[in-house]
Amino acid sequence: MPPPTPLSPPELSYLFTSLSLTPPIRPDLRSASQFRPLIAECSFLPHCNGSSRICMTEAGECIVGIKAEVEKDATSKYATIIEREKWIEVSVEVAGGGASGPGSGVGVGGISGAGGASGRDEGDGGAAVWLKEGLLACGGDGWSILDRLVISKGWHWKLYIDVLLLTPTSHPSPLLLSTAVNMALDSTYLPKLTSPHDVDDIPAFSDDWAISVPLYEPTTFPRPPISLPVVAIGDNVFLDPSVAEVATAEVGLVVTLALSDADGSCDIVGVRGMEVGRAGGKEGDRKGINRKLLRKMVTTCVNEASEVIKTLGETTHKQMFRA
Amino acid sequence: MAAKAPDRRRNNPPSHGTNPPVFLSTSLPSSTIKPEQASRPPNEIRKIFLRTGLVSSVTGSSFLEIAPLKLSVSVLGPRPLPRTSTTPFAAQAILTTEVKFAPFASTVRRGYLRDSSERDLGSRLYQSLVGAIRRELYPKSRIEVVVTILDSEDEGDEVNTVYMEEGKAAFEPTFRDAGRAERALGVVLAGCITAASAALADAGIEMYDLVSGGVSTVLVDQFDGKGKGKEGDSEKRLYVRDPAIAPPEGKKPLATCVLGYMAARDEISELWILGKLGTKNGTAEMEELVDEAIAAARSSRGVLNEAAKERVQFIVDKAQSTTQTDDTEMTG
Amino acid sequence: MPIQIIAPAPFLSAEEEEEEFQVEEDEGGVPLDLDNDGDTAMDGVAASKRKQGRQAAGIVTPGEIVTDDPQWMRGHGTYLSSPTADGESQSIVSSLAGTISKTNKLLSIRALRFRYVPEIGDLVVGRILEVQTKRWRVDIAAPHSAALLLSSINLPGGILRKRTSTDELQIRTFFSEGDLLVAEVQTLNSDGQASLHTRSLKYGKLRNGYFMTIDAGMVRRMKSHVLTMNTSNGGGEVDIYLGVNGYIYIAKHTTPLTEGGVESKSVSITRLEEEASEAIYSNVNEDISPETRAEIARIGCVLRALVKANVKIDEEMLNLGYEAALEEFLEGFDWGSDTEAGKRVVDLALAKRRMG
Repeated sequence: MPPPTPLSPPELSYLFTSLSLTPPIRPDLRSASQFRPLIAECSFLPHCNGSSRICMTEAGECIVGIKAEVEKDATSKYATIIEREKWIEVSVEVAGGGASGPGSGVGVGGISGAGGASGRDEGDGGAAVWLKEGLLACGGDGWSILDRLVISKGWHWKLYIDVLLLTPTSHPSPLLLSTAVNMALDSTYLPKLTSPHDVDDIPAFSDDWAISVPLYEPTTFPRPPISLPVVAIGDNVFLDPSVAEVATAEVGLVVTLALSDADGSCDIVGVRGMEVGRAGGKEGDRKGINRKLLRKMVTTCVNEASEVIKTLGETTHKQMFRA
Repeated sequence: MAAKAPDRRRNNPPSHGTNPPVFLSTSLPSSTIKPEQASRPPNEIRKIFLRTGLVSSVTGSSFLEIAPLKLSVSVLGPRPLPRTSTTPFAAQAILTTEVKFAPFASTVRRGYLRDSSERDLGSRLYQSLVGAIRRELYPKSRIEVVVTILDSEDEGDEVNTVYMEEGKAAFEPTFRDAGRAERALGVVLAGCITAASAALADAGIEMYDLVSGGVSTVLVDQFDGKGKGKEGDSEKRLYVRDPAIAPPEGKKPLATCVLGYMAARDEISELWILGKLGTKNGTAEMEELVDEAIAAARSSRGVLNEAAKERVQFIVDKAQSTTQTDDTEMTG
Repeated sequence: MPIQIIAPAPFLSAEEEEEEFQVEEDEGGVPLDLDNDGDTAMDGVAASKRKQGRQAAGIVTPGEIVTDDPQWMRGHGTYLSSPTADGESQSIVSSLAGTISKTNKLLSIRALRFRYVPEIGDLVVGRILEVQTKRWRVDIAAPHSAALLLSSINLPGGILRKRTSTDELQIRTFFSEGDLLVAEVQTLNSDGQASLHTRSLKYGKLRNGYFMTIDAGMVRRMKSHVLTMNTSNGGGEVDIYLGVNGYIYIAKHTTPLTEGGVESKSVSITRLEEEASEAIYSNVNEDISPETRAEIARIGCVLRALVKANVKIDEEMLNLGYEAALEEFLEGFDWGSDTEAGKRVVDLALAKRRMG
């Protein structure tokens, strides 16, 4: 169920017209492919293997803590994909129990799959689903994040990615969640294994953090993925839409991308529909995405993604505890 | 929904009882039902069996079968929203979708409570249908779409296991099919979309267009060596519509696309791509995959149209025959 | 640069803080010499301020004694301490964390952040939360949602028309959920819930513009909270409804029906009624030119920038801010991508204000 639109019909119509002009006039005068500035901080929780805090003015604030625990493989002989995918657990928690007052109007989870439909009563379990999905899909030829979690014979790291949304009534933009998870993953370090690799005894680790191993090698690819929300209004395509823009939009997508090589080219690792207000248009208007629009929306994301991921990566490395 | 007590008050059975429908066409000798033919060309989708009006106690219903996948869809409503103080005013109909695997639908038994993948399927089904329904015609009411999956292709079988005996299986070049679970869910989702559209049409709910589901996968040749020919693999891409869960021998899936497609409007209502698609040629790789999925959706749209017409035709015929008899009675 | 990532930083450095306080210094109360030992433990900057007699910026916390001088009267945010045994005078104690403000002999504490507390006569912008049988529940950012009775609105077909049961049935045709309106606080009941009215043609449904919210405390109370600004770049006139509750609506200037009424009154009193009935509850925007839309967005950005810099908003500040934004705009800067743009505009506006 979409959130009951919090905007009045004249407001929506005003926004719709403003945003479908050429060039469009966004309420905050951003250009169509401009992101809102965000405040980012990482590696600040001493109890976590990796952590990050992202603050966006309207979209709110969230903190991600990543903890890794040593776990014995569930099956000794076979570990199915299903079993292995349980090695990563993503949860999205809203501080204060996700209290959304009657006036807030907007619920948690803008992406289809993020607690939409009748699943809305289950809170935001859906956001966890797509965050994890992007993480697992981000890989490539014989590489998967799961491989990095293998410790030794019969042992692996269990990765808990806990996302805490600090601003309960705000609309958690997919960008907010995914940049936070991206940064936290990028700043995650695991203790170095000191026991032999091929023995199935309980593994032993070095307690020297200076020689700990990064979960994602800073110089290798792929890097952690990032999900960019993009909406379309008329012929215009907008990145990082605000709440009002999402409510006005006709269609929306969340495109998950990962940097694939040093040249800055990106791979598309996932595309999902985004729940939008569809409130601006009139009857019989656009109900879905045609191919031309799809190309435009995804191309916009692809064009900006490498810059965004690089900027984010640089910020992370500047702030790392080892830097 | 699952956590709350079911709303028993509004799901009363009809007072006159119901008759179980009998599908004669399926009661063929089992020998004629062949297992999934391996020889199916990549641009052909599996045969779809789709019928509406399976459950007579709900407004609209349908049953769909694609090889191993069997699912039934019930549409309830439009009916009034419950009158509680927390229910907001709804100028448009509120659509709810629910997808549930029967506990016996897969090799691993599923619980009665919906898990995250079922919730995810539900919300994506919502996303694909919500734009197509003319919800503004049904204010202050709700429409519920309930999908029950009776049988599905399995996610975790022998092929899908990783041999862990050496303790470092992950570093072996053994082929691992990471997107398998998602691909299985994608095939289910496409079936859900098609069947749900048929059920909505059966329920007489006004829609802008029928939404049909389509799936496609892009495969590359699997290399036995480690990562060699990384650049060359882009030439040997194989696009498969409506893929089987197990990839063909020697092929490795790269990405899967599932979409809900409104053929008459040429619009995609829900898109879900998972996998790895390069962007060296812009979005060309993605577009090709999407086009294949659209083609698959167009094929299933044909079945969907027939299914939607079939029952209408049946009722119209029946009505005509009765009015004819009425007429003869009157004249006679 | 598509995205800007800012490293976390403390809110304000010490020097900036001082500057802000200079800006914030207001309402010209008498300097209060707080010399009892129980009061604020101030150091460095603050202590020197005390010597300069700029006590307006004094910050107190709950439970802190503000003064025991009996000449002061206690106002909002303070209470009297329990009388001591030896018959000494009671002291005024703060019950809020905030700044001390004085109006003549009245001492009150203003919290930095607070929810809007409605007062009779306030002009507020609100959003309909719920439609009930004879009234609406309106969100005005106050602790309680306000009520708007069907009897306190102008019904189409004449101001003095009596409300009928037909109107009750059609209540949603006037205001529906999510609709924005500008209204005046008419009464307050005992628990602080406000009752609104729109029985004037300057109040009513809001159209043709853009809605934004800021902290309630950031709007200074003024004579008029509906400003009309003559914008540049062909934007024409723009109305700004600065709700005392922090809800703001910026819209294209439309000839108020009252003015139109004044003209048409000479023709016929019924003309006014007709006009009111046609337009007052419409949900359709007028044609708004892209130029006007751009200027509306610019005013929105100026407001946001002012709030971000902790500058209270009034007519003067808004005009100066808009002027500053235009000057900066001529130098070719871009609000969207330049995070410093807002700050520069505010600095320029403050400089202009100091110059007079």
